[in-house]
Amino acid sequence: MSERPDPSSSATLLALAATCLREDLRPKLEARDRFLALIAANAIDIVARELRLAPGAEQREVERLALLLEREGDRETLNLIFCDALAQGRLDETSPGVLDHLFALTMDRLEIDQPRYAAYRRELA
Amino acid sequence: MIAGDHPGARLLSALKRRDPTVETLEGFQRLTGGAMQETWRFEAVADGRRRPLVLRRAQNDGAAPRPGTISLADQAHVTRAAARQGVPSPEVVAVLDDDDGLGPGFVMGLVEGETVPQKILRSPEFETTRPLLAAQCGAILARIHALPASQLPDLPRLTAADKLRALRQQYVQQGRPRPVFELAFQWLFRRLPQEPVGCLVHGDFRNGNLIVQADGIAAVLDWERAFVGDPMYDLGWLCVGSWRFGEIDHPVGGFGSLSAFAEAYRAEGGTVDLDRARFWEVYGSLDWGVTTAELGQEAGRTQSLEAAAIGRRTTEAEIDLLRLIRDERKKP
Repeated sequence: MSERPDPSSSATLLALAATCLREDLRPKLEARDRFLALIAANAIDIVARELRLAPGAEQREVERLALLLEREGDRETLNLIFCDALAQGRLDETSPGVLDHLFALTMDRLEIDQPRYAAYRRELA
Repeated sequence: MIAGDHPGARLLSALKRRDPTVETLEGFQRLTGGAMQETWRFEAVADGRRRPLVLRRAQNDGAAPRPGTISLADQAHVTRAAARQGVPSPEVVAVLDDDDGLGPGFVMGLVEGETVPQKILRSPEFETTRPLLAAQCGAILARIHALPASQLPDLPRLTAADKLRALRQQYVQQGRPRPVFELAFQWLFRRLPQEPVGCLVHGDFRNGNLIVQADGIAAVLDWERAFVGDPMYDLGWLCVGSWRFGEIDHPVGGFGSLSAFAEAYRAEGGTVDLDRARFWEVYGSLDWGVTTAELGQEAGRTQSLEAAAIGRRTTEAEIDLLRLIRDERKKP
């Protein structure tokens, strides 16, 4: 097994980089650069959440897809089969489990990408 | 090669040709704009008076407009036609032609006011303005949709099927299947409306393309995506979740209610069809989702941090699509 960085130390590194951009550098910048520094800090936050949350989310996605499609496979394969079934109309929003899976998938991704999006907050509540 | 050059000298002769009293142009400021168009703010001095103006021109001189968009000259002609119909609009001062040597573009009067959506929706200075906006959108869109074809340039005629097939093609070309998008495409294909084609559709009527002053909407901008088709497209697009900027309980642009919109729209002679508007809201959310996915994919090539960040907003469109599809299922 190759050495992988301790996830907690990666998280610390990213958190420090985001804080540096947001709190130390941003106040010293002019309007346009100040905006870009905020986007950069937010991007780092997204990656930090992804490192923490994506493994669990992807495992749950595979488990739900395997149940829904009644077959085994890796995430990419199952997802392609699922997309094809939707595109061909073999599955749709009335099929058991389809909407539940898509909501769970999208909510897991929003927790990583855009946890402040109003519709996400509403669905959590 | 014109793109990127300072337009000053050529613009002065272009404006002098149309108005010999113009003496000088001053205070050029490049405003942030799209990748395909550039926008400059400046002042024309004539008879000792200074008039603030805006130049909008193509960044690629002579390049054909992107698919789904109309030329800058046509945008200027539609702006003029809309103004005659009582749509608050900037005054088009000059439509550039080949003699001007500036590429395609037009010059318009500067309209003062706010365009930043979050400020319009949250700033205390617009507290008494906000309750007016949904109804104003209704009245303005009714006038746009009533514009006779005889007053318009030749615009693309697009049915719901045309729009949906074009979006599907754009998505398929990305080569990255997303199950929520697949579901949304099928949902839309099963519900293609039999729409009355034939109205002028603005195509990008939303918070962000409106100049707002204390008493409300002072100008409608950005006719780049105008077409002839279903008027309910504009209402659906105005309601797309991402254009509510967090004010999700105010469906009309984050401003207000559908009933306030519909009352004003009907008072100006329009007919609201909420089912078709809902179809176009789903279409619009999908359109925005596909656009964000594309920007994210291109970010490696364009090296644009902003585009890469927008690429992480695809999931916003996806939750909006799922909520819409779920809520339609619940309906009797």
